[in-house]
Amino acid sequence: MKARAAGAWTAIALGVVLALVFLLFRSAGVEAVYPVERAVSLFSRRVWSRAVGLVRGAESRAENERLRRELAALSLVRDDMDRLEAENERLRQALGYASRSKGKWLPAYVLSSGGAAAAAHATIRAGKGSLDGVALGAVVVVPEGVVGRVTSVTPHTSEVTLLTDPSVKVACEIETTDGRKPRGIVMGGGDDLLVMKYLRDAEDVPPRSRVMTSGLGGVFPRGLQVGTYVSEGEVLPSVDFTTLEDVFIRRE
Amino acid sequence: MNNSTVRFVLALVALVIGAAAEELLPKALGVGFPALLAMLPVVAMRPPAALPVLFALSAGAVEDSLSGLPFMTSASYFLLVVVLVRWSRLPSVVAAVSFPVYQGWLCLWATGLQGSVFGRTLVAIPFGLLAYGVVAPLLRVVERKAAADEEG
Repeated sequence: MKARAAGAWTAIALGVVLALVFLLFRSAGVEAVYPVERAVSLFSRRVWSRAVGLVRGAESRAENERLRRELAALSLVRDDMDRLEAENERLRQALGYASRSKGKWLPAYVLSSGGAAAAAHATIRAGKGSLDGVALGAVVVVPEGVVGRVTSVTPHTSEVTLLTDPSVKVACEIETTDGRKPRGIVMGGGDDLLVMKYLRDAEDVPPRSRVMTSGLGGVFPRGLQVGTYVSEGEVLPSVDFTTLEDVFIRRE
Repeated sequence: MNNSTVRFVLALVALVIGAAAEELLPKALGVGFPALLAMLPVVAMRPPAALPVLFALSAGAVEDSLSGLPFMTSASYFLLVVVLVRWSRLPSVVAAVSFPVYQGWLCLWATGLQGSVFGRTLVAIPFGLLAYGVVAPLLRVVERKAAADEEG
């Protein structure tokens, strides 16, 4: 009798442990690998890039000087934008319009190309996680355009599923010269090009028109560049996903 | 520390480094460098029997969590590979076929995989051979060194 009770308790304990492992392992597995990835990333950014900088000394100094001037010019632009945003907010309140959501862009470095030897989706892993305020579904961009969405978060990392993956869908509009803004849904096409679905009069859209987020899906804010229209619903992404080093994650 | 404990510690370190290598190294059609799977045939032949079983389950679970695959998809396959190696006593042969066959296994259980099964399998053949060719000798050297240090 005692042996049967002990067996039952062992089975229950094993079940609880398995359930916990099932719930926690996804995050624990990623977090266990994080220190090695971070070490490699830090080495490549702080040691390797400095060693390369020493070799290319004059070139780096010139680039540094140019970037310093660009930063000074951009800080002036930012002051103007802050002023305009405040004015816009005042006018919206005066007209009784709802306030725009004020998301902030959190800079994050790319740790790895994400996914192990049998990656199910096109992903990258970024070095910011739930401890930094990253939430599931957050939008990820670079200055060139939309990168994708956060599909998995651990305390220190977040997995970003790229726009080239068919599971990521973005409500978009095309900027044409005649002022029309044909709308559709952009998603990964399985190769380097994206596909724009539900687009009316696709043949009337001039090639090389800019494809921007329309903000209609309620996920991606309006006005982010996605790519360039090629033809027959195909879109060339504006971001080169193979060379990503730093990304910006939207934090609401 | 006795030999078994040393092997368990080595397996743990190899697991973390192998998983990081899989993430960091480039991929083609979603197929990357299978460092963890390449370690299995080496670990499978080592005593005690609990070591390869635990290693297969942990490595598979890490692979699943990093790849966004359903829980136990890789863990169950890794366990099968260990059983096959111990039964056949042909680690090199199992290592050569395990990664291409794994692509078919994934198509049975996972949805939305990148690329076609045929394309993934084609990429998996050289990747699997290369991974075993690099990882297996490396593991054996580390194991021998650790054993020598232990005796010394």
